[in-house]
Amino acid sequence: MKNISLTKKIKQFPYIFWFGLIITIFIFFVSFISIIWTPYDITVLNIQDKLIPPGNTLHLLGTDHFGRDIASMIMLGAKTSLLVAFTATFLGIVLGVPLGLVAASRAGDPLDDIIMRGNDLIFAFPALVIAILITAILGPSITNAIIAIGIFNIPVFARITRGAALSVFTLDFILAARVCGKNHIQICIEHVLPNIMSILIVQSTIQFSLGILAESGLSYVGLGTQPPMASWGRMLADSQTMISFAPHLALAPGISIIVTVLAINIMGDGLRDYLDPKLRKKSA
Amino acid sequence: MTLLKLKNLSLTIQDKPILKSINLEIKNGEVYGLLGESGCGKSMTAAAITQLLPKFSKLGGKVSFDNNNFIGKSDLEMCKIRGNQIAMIFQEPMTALNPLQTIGNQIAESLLIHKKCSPAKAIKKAGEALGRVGLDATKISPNLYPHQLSGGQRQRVMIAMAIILRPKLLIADEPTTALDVKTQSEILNLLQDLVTKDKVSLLLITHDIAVIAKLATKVAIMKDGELLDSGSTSTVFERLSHPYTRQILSDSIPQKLNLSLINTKKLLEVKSVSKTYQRKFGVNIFNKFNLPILKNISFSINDGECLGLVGESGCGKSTLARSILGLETLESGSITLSGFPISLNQKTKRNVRSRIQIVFQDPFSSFNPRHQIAKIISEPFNLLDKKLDKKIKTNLLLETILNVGLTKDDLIKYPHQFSGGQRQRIALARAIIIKPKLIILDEALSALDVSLRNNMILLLQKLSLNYKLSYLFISHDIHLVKAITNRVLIMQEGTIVEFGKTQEILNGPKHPYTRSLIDSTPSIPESWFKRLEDQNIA
Repeated sequence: MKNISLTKKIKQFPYIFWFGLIITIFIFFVSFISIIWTPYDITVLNIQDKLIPPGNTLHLLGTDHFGRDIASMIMLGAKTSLLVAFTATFLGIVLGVPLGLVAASRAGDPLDDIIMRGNDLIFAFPALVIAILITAILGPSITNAIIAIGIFNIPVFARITRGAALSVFTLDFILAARVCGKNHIQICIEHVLPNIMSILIVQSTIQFSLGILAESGLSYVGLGTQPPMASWGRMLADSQTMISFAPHLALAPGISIIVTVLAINIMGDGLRDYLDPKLRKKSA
Repeated sequence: MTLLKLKNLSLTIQDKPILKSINLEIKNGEVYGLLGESGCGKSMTAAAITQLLPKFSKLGGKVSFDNNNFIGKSDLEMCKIRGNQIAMIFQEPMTALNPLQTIGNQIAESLLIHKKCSPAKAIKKAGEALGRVGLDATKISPNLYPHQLSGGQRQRVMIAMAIILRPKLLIADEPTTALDVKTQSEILNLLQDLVTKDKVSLLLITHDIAVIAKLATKVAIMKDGELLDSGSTSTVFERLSHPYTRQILSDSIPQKLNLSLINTKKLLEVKSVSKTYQRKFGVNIFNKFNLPILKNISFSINDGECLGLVGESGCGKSTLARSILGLETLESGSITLSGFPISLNQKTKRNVRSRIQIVFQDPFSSFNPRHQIAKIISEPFNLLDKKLDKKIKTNLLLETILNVGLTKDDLIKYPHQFSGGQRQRIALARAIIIKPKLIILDEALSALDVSLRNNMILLLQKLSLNYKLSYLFISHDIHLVKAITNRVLIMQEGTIVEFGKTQEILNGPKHPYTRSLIDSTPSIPESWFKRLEDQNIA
């Protein structure tokens, strides 16, 4: 019985979802592998092998100006970038969505004003500048980069949650749930959250890609990942002086970022379609 | 002279037939009614005439307007005709106007598009058009914005927009469905005036026979994309040659609701309830004003009866309903259900609240689209003090869904898989599952087609017997209230102006407000029913 429902469920997802999911799983897999094994040790310099173009039998993606293996660096960079982007997005969802829901369910109350004006306070600062400020105070490290980026995700999610929830709160089924004696928390979880899920999923994929870029930006100014740790953003930043004679140095992390962001976006779209009963029937 | 002629008009959208060989002719200065239930293709006929069709649609046949065939015309050519020679009036005056533009600008828009005219002159003409639709220029200036007007005034603005260029054909798609009875009769009179004064032709699309009876000289009856019956209005309805015509005429007589279990025991008592809303003025949070919404309301509902509550929108009906449900804080007064108080500030006990349930007007927004029917219907279980056994729950679900005329398989479906009528049954199922004493029907039958309405009334009757229910029936439809309620409350601006037995009040109203409500309700001529009765006897 359970097997039948499982195959049914698989069919309900659009095929493009599986495409995105497989790529995402692959990227995660690679980054996990990098914890225990990489083809080369990226802390060892090998200057005579510097700037080998990609396609080499020993260095599949070539080497950089220190002779380090690009493929190994991409693997390690995947770990850093995904870690930062995922944790920062997660932080934004975990804190931002409840705040937004509370604000929406108490719309018009002073509590709503307090939450939303607090959000505006964070919004008022340019994102990267305050991230630089935070890392400057706390010291440059991956953890601090996560905190800095994550704090910016909170008002984004709070605001989008509140806006979407407000329109759901006006519908009759919310009143029906209140007639059935449900309190605000039950209503938010059972009725509001499922109906704004699609917006949140799309926003998370956007915030995730922005997280990768923000990490790159922080690493670029030296406040994110510290050498010799690799990150895609750091690799991009390092390669830009050599772009004319060694474009593969920029292409490898650049394409990695694009493919990851795209895969996660596709997966998010598929998940959104699956969660909507109306769209689910069509895609099946 | 024939103005518009549809010949064998057919329409398919993505190979799905929508209209099947429609033939009709509209003469100059004539009101042509197009009658049909929702989804029968009435609005699509209008869209086909103006060539404003959705994507992937294929038209066949002929649309000739002033001896001009529209089919195959480019969009650019049609743009010169739309708004200039053919104009449309839509159903929803709240969304059909742009909230960011003054009404003068919106009325003048088509003038600026079609005629060479300076903006200043156009605005002046817009002012004149407002006068033609009966809006006093001294009170309603063209510089107002839509939100400053009432629903009826907005509908007049819509009409002014449509007639400013004196088009030959006006298409009115359910022009009064979203309006109150009194505004409805004003708008219908206005349309009638325009037709007689300006000699425009009017294609009136509606589902309401009474509206047709009031305005249309000719009528065509539509079902599933086909014209079944057409001709002059009085002959069509007096001859009743087509079985479908007979059916919709007999369906439009609301079924009587016979409640046999009435006794004089008071179930719900509302004693001098008052409620005031605090409104904010703009952005200044200190500038508040009080809006009294319920003023000293007292009434009671007896065990087993159906009490009607009639009033215009904004008169406080919904607030009263929410107060009875215990969702509003009361300023003064009390509401008790068989002796137990209901109020938000007194923390109503759950078992008291479980005895009152509600069915809403809009069958589309009253369910969470992400939940299965089983989950939707079982939501009121939350009100029970002790958790029910899973087996008892499943049995109750099954019993309830069968009771409202749906099947077991429907339990695992989602709301979007049901039609409007079925959804109201689901809403009723949700209301009755915990066996309440009182169900509030908030315009619950208003969104339904007449053919479904009578079935719902029969269902209400059956449920009231099975479950020993009382109903509070909120509506603005006088005919419906007359048929199904025992006693009626007439409400105006937060006060009850009349309260008593339905037959006595609606047949001999004492209060001028009640009288004006009854007078402005369009009704079907008695002569039409004669033939129906004769045929029934034969």
